[in-house]
Amino acid sequence: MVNNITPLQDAFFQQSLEGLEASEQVLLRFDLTGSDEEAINSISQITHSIKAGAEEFELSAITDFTHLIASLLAPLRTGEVKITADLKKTLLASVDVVKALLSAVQNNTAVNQPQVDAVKEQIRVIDKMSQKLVEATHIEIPVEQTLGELAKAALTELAVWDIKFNPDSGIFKREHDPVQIFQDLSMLGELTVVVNDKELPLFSDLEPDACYLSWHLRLSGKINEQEINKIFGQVRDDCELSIEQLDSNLNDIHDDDEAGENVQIVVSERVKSHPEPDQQKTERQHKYQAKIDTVTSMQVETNKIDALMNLLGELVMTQSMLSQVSDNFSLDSLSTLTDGLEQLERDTRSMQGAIMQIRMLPISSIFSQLPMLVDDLCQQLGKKVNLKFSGEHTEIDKTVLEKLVNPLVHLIRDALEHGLETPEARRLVGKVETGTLDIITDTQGENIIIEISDDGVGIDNDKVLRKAMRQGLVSDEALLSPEAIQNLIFRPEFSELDRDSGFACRGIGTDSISESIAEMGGSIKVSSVLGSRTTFTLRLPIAHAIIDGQIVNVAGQDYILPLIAIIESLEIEPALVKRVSEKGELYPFQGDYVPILRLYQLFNLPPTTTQLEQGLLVIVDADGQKVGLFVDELIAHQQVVIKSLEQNYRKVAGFSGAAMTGKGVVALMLDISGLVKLYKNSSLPGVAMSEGGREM
Amino acid sequence: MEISTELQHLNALVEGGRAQKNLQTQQYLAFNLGDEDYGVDILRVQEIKSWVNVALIPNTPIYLCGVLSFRGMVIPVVDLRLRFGMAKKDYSPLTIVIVLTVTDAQRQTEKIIGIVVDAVSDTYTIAAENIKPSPDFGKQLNTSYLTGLVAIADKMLMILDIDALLSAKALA
Repeated sequence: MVNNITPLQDAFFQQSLEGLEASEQVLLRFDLTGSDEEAINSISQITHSIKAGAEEFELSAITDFTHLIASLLAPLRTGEVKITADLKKTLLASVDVVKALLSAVQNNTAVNQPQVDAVKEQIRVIDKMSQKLVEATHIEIPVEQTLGELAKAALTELAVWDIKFNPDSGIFKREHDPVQIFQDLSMLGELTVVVNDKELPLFSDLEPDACYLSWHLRLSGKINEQEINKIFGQVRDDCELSIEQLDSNLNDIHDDDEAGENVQIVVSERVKSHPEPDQQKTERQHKYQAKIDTVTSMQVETNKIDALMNLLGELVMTQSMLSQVSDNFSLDSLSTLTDGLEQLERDTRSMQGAIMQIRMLPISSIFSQLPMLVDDLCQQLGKKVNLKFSGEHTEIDKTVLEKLVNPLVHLIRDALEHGLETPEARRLVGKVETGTLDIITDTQGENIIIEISDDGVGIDNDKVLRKAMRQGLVSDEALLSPEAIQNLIFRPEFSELDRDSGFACRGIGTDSISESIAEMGGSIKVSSVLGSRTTFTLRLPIAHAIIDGQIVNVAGQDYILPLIAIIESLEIEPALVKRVSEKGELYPFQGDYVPILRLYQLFNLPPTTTQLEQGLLVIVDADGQKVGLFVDELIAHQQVVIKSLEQNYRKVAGFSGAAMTGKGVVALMLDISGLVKLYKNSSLPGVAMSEGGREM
Repeated sequence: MEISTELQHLNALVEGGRAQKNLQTQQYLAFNLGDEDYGVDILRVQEIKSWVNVALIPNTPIYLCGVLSFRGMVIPVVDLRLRFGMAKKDYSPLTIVIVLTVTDAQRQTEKIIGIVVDAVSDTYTIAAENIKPSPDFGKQLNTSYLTGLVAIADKMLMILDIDALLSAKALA
């Protein structure tokens, strides 16, 4: 395996991954009824270029595998075989395997061998089938021999082969790998391997690249000698090899006991064609994980770069203009200077925009993985779903996009598992058997909205409320709007599966989703109609790194509030403040009473003022619930670049990061839902807050 | 000496120390808190900076001064005086911040953390065998964050185990 990745190899990986992505798209669009020559040709081309590249860099695992795919595609290209659902699935799986193999080399990690073998097996089976099909179509031309061989092959009976394999010591130097041979053999049937290490010298005399081992193999299955010979083909000349057929009685290999110690290893039981669901699950998670990890570079449209170049030109002009002004500066040229500075500001802003534009990718690049996921899940769960996308061309920042994958997959899984009913259940309640899952993307100002909506069972408000009461989340007398009740499922208390109530709890792990969405500076809401529809609405900033912030001052410290969360800022009239048990403070706002969070109290800072009328109340939206933050003053409104606190410190409750302000100092970014949690958990003179505000 | 030139000089000293590679000996950067001398592995030193205003992080231990911006990242700053329970010294532009790389054994992650010290004195080359184990003070004093002690002329240099001293747990 190659450890150091050269730029050339990097380019190869990049190209291959793009090619694979493209193949996947083509495959997913594949119409099973027609034969799409162009599509097959493009896939073949991609396969061949990957194979050629892999040969160049001596990545034998990839070469071998792409060779298999090519063999699968060949009859398709000639039109001898039509594409089937099985074939499509196998090809898709192959694409994944090649991706896995590539990323294994790229990151120098091990591949998930069972997965690879399973797909190899699939290909082999299909290949054989299509071979036969092809041969069968050829029978019309009377070729006795072919028919004879076909019959012979079909008649191959269960055989046990005894293989003695004694390679000469230079086998590794010629880059043959016995392990690969054994793996190939194990694809044919059940293989037992006994290694003979008698020749192994003392460690001090050991030449690291010489082979001192010989092997005694036993292979059983419907195998003929040619198949075995084919596998040993390349090493034939570099070893002593004997292949004998034994009686089909399976005897264990008797150790040719002399002095050495022998080790017996069963290389492979036939790969089970149906792995345990759990295993499948983790494999899939693995797969999506891998996809997130592999995005390390990106393609940029040329016109985006051209736009950047133009802006750069203007920036350079402005800069030279400014330096001219400063060279012979007099008070007369003051207006030119201010003009120039304004121009500079505009240029910088456009430059920023253009650079952010480069980071924007269409959201469809992650949607492309979803049909497969949904297909898989449907099969597993025995459900029928029609997946519909709209607005998939919406562009979103690369970092947001990457972080979006997991929550999205989670929500879709949740919708399929707990939302949509089985076809029978749907028929019973008079719905069409096939459910729909709509994923709608749209932009609203600086935000992107993603709606994941299923026409399944919906959320039972009563059950949610009962559970919330049991957990002590809400008090009995609280009057909550249906929406407020549904949004309770994002509370961590709901993340545990409630087995006793037996209610398909939509909400398992939803707190983690809501957390990771909040980390991106976004929010999530749910609305549902019992029995007919559940809709999750994600609202995310288009660009993750840069957000519009409102800088506020609390007890002499600057903090940044995300502008999107602010509903209104107002001066407080002390007379209107209502107190609950003389402690919790509420303020009327648009027909509701919103709780007042005195930030200096939450932060344990010596207050500049405790008089509410001397500060301001900033009404913000915290996951659908309004709260008022008491601050000293509003400073400025500014775009800020968010930096992680976790990278070098840790997560801090109530803060989602930090950023440089215009003054050139660091200020912490407030996380509103975190602040609300902090408030509720604090032992401050503030009582439990009423949920969502009570109607007046 | 002007603070900026002094910092330049100190950083050059650190660069020089980092460049020297020797298996038997190690370079240490010495600094002091009051009249006590401490040393840290020079390979962990990123930069020596002067004090700038930090953003306070509410509800964290008193010795965590806050966070500042360092090479595009946000890093926490720990006041070593307060960490060791010594009297607080007010911060001024003359206050020294040593920016260090701290690793976390379990998670194998690297973090960048700044420490506030009184002054940086010099760099020393110290052979491993010259580092003596720190005495056990029992319950009187926790010395688990000390790698050992070294006698240099009339000074006693306490070599800090910054990974233990500045571990995530210790800063929580």
